[in-house]
Amino acid sequence: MDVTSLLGKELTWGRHKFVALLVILVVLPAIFAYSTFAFQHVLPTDAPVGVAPQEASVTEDDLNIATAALTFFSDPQTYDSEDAAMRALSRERVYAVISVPPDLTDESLGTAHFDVYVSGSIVPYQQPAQALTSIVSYTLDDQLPREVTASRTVVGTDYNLSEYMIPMFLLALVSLVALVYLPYTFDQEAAVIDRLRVETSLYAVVASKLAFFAALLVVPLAVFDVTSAFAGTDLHVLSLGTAIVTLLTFLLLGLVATTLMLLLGLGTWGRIANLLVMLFVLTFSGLAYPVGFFSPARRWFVRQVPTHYSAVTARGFVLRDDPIGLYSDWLLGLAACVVVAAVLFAGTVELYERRA
Amino acid sequence: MMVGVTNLTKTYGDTIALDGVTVEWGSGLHCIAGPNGSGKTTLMRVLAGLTRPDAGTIDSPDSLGYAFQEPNIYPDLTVSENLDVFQSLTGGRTAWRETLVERLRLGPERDRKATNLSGGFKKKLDLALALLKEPDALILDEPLADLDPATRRRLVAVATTYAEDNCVLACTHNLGAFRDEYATLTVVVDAAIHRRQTRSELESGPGAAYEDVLDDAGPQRGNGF
Repeated sequence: MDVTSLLGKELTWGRHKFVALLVILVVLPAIFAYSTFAFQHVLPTDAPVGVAPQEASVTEDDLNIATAALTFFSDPQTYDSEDAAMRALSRERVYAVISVPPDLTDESLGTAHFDVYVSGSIVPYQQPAQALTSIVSYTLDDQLPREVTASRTVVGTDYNLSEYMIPMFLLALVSLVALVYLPYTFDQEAAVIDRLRVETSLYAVVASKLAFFAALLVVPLAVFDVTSAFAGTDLHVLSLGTAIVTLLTFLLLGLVATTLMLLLGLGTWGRIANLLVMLFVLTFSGLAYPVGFFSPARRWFVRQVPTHYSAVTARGFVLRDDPIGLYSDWLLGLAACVVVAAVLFAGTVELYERRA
Repeated sequence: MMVGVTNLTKTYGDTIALDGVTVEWGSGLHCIAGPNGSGKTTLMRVLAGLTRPDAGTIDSPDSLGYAFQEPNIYPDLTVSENLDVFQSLTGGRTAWRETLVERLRLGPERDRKATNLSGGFKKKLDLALALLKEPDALILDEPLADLDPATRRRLVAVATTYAEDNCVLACTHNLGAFRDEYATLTVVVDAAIHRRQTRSELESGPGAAYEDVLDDAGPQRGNGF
């Protein structure tokens, strides 16, 4: 009887919490399922690759011939020089660079040798790149009057999957702190928020929290760094570049989280909304799989998500030890997003204080 | 020290919480009463800067303390840690802090987490936090609700002593507890000041006068009053 009565009470409670249950039991599984099944389409058949001249004497016709041949199994992007193509490789705009030799149609010349450069940091593309090299060799040899050979060169350190995952874990941790732990502290301190507003301001409260947690994030950076060194890897986790991208990403997500908490009343709903944002960030930032592996529509969408650039720059700093200047435009973009988030937060404070 | 508002209006959607209210208080202990939903807490929150009015002017000191109906304390911090945080934030004197701890008998609970305190001690800690910076004006929102008589007397004594040199506004239904201490009684009904009287005008005490006011006002806004 007790159990029946209590089950009845649970049913009543369930009716009151219908929307929350809907989110937990329907929306979240749908997101999980979609993000899982999305990986079924991880067939890098149209992954972007760069096509660049090996030397100045390579003509536009040579590049066009190579590009046309590559179109069948990739999405070729032509660059003016190898340097420009290699820069795009570092910034993960392309996942391989095919260096085209001159005079492809001059059969009086000997073997035409194509170089296929891949980044050692893009671990998921290592095997496809081997296939790509063979295909380049076979396809172009078939289509060109000259004999064609191709060889694959790994640029930078050749990492394994475990090492490749470190920047992903770092950003996942930043997301967790900003979108789960920070909202939790606001939820806990909702009981004292009015006193804090009497004695100081919401801006001061939020600024102190963001500063505190941002400073604390140095600890996981150091832990990742020490652990990586202990494991004998060549990762560069504790660097100025990583610190900058970690800070900007945390500030952006932290301001989003705080804004949502204020809009939704510093309670459970704010925390649920932030959990959804975290799932979005983890799914649509290209943290694990490079975005070029997905469909053009999804590739376009992911490139509109600011944290995608956090993922690429973090990989650049941690795995490739790239200079900060290589990503200055993206870091400025992230900083601009932080400013926009701060403006939205200020507007939300205004709204909160009017409604209070 | 004067605390007051002029032509204050505040609405929440279609609900008028304060309708052109003008009122002023000086030093001393002032009781504010009124039925639930009449607008007295909104008036206090506007005075403290917690709620923005739609119109009107506010005259309140920069240094204002607020003891809340629901204690506003860090639940996960101990009594001492709560005092530390707000002393650091407001620049309160250590000697004054110790005086408050002694007067409110918080000493034995210093190391206890606020969440584990009884309701009375939470109220006392909340009052201590409100007084920590020695504000020029102190707002007490239902300070005596759910307290045992001894705790009630202690809080009234602390508030009364503080009102000797400062303005203390006590928003309460429990006027009898302030019988010998108040300077004025202000009754808020239906988002407006219904009556304001000094102690000399209320010979039978504020509690009885409040009952009279309730009887005079008749049923209001369907809140059973």
